Amino acid sequence: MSKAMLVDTSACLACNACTVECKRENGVVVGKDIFWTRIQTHEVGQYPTVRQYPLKRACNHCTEAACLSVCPTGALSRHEEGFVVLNQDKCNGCGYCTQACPFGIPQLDVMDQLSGKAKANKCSFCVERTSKGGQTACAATCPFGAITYGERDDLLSQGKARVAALQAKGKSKANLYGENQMGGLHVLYVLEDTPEAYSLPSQPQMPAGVTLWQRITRPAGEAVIGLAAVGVLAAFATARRNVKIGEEEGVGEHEGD
Amino acid sequence: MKEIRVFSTTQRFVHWLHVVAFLVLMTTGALLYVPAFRGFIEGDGGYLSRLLHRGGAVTFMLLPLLYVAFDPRGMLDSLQRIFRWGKDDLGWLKAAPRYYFFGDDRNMPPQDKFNTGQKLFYDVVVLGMVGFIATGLIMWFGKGSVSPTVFLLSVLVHDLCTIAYGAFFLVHLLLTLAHPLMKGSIDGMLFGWLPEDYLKHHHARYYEELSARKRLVQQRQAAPRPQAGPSLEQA
Repeated sequence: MSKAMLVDTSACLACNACTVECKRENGVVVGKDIFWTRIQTHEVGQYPTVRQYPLKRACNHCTEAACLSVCPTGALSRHEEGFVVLNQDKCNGCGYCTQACPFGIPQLDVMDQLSGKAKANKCSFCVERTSKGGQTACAATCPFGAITYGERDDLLSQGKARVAALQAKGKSKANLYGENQMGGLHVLYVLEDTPEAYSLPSQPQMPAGVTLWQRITRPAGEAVIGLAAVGVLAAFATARRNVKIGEEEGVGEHEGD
Repeated sequence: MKEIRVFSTTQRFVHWLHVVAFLVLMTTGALLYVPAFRGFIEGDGGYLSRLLHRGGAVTFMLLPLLYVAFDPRGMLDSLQRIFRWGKDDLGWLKAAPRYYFFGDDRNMPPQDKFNTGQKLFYDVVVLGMVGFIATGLIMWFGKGSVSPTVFLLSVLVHDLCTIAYGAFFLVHLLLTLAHPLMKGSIDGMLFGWLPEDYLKHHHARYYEELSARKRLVQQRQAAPRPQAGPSLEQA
């Protein structure tokens, strides 16, 4: 079993109460354009039928998480309940996660460009609250009940029921996002329109750079360097036995000269 | 035994500064890939290792500038030699295993100042430097302004350069320090001079080039000057 959040965008009024509560709860840096969650709005359609879709933009806690593959410090880790936790104390600010995420979610709080002092920022599923059996701060604070925290399986069926209800009301494009993307997200979204209308990729991919790095470069690097080391040691050992005169008569004076 | 000047002071200084920069860069870079060393790169330790990596990087970028500023001729000469490839190089590659493992030099073609293996390494070094510096600058200053694809590709190229550099470095290190046939060769890089005999055996084509140049100079000096022409004052 794993935990998840269900975000019902059809119930969201874009009030940003979650944005504010998240910053307060997690002590997220203030005065900078850095958020662990925030509401983004997307305008679709032409006047006079313009609609504005709100989207709670935050880490989706992928099952196949690109950020986890590239994090060299272990600051990012998988919680036993399935979500991806960021431990800022371990983060050294390399920023690889900000470049690998197919949703472009982690943000780097750069304190010094020259020395590279920085910290990654992203939602950690309010790990201290949820580990104690509580719910996430954003879910607790949403005045419209648009964010639900719970078991992922339960939320999947809840989300599907909500989509069916929306479709019955004539919103034929309504869909549930996150069931299968990136191996299954731990944040599920009830959308009234296509994912693209919310600037969500309908088929997010693990970036090719990350895949190449993990599957090819790393093992290839180990193999090549290992081979070089072994080869050279073998040459050294064999040559020591075979080249005898060189050691006594000095440089270059060996067999066959 | 007669000694022949092979490396200028600048060349040797740049070489050893390169060694220092390389060791700092390689160590702080490799820490990222060895899970056992995670403790060194977490949090504040991570800042330190990243800062050291940047210090190493600045030193590394200074190397070609120092080289071209203080010994442009030596630099040009070496660059020309390491990128000059011929069919003797193929012969060297074929004969090398028997030579390096068993000391059998019967089929070794005469070599220039840098032999085929050295040329391979130095080509990797020069191209690797270009790759390291270009991708390193992108990773240092380009995060957020270049696309994530370009960034991740830079990491990849940086890694590939490390693999090539690292593998050749191991070969280079062990040949200089441990191989019985290369005994004494490190003096060339330490003091700038190598015994005439060493050059005769290991770099016959280069030795021939030096001898021919010397003969020419001697002839010019012995004979009455025929007419004004380009003078060859340096042996």
